[in-house]
Amino acid sequence: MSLDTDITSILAKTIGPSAPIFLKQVCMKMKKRPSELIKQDLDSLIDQIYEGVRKPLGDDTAQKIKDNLETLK
Amino acid sequence: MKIPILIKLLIIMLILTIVPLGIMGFLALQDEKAIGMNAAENAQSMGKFVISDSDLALEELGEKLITEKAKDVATQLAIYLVAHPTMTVADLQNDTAFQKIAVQKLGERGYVATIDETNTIRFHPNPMMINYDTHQMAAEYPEFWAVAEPIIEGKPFGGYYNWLDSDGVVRSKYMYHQPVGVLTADGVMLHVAATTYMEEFTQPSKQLEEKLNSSIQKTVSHISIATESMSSANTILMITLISIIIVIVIVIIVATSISRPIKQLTIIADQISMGDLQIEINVHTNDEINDLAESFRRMINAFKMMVSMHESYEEEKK
Repeated sequence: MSLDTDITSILAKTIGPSAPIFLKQVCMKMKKRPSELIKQDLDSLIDQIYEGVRKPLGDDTAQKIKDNLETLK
Repeated sequence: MKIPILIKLLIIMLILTIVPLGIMGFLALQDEKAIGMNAAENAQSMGKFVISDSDLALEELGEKLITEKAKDVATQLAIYLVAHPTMTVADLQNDTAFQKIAVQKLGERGYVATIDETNTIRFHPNPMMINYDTHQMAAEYPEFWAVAEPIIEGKPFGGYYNWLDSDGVVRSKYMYHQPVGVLTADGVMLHVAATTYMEEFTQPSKQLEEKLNSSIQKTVSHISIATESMSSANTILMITLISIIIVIVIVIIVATSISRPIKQLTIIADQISMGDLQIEINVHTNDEINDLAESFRRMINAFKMMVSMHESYEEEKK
């Protein structure tokens, strides 16, 4: 599986089928497409996602997503 | 028309439970009565068969005992006569030792008497009957006479006869007579006649028959009473009512466990539609409703994310 698929499936556990849209938004900030993501982008991506999720969903949920994404490293 | 899940489940469960229960109850009631009666009839006919066999066997045994007693006494008398060849009938009637042999008790109410070849009683437990000519009984007791008459022929003979007792009851008796085989000093051939009531032998089987009949009668009446009371529908009604109550309780529990979370999710959906994304979903079940609740959680999170993204976008635009 590609990296973006793994990230999408982790996000989907929390926000459902809209996970690819959210990932696309985050990637846009990194000036990349989801399919172009590589392992070296993970640290930055995880931080971006954490920040993006923390405000609407709270610290606990954001931390949980972060921990799950860390396993992809 | 809106029909709640609870009512739907209740109707289905009640139909599934009560209809087969009613049919089975009705059939079981019919079968139970038939089987019970059949068993009682079989037991009765089997009992009668056994008792009839026992009766025959006991009668045979009785005949044998009476016959053997007559033969035994005849042998004893023969020995006595051989030992006392000079004694006439008159001498013997005064001889206590001979009397003790010639007159004996047989069973409870039977006896052994000694008669001569002219059918005159020579030795009898009732002193009034001594020297009584039994020919006099021929007209009054023809059955007795049919058994007693062959004495004249001098051969052993046995047979049944009905005897009218002083209590007015006619009872069956068996008599066997056996010639002593040795003449007295005055040339008389004595015959030993042993007789008793056959009911003495068949009494146990009669008692058994009475017990069996009474037991079967009790069983039949018990079956009748039980099935009649059941046929008055009390038992079936009771079982049905208990079943209905149990079914209703189970249906309420099951239906509530299904409908309650659905109602909660309906309320949550309505609140989301009003823009409330802070609502918490407290639905935890072990079925598909839990999956639905999870979908609601993800949907709320997605809405929150979208709102957040939209706000960020608006801020960036400013």
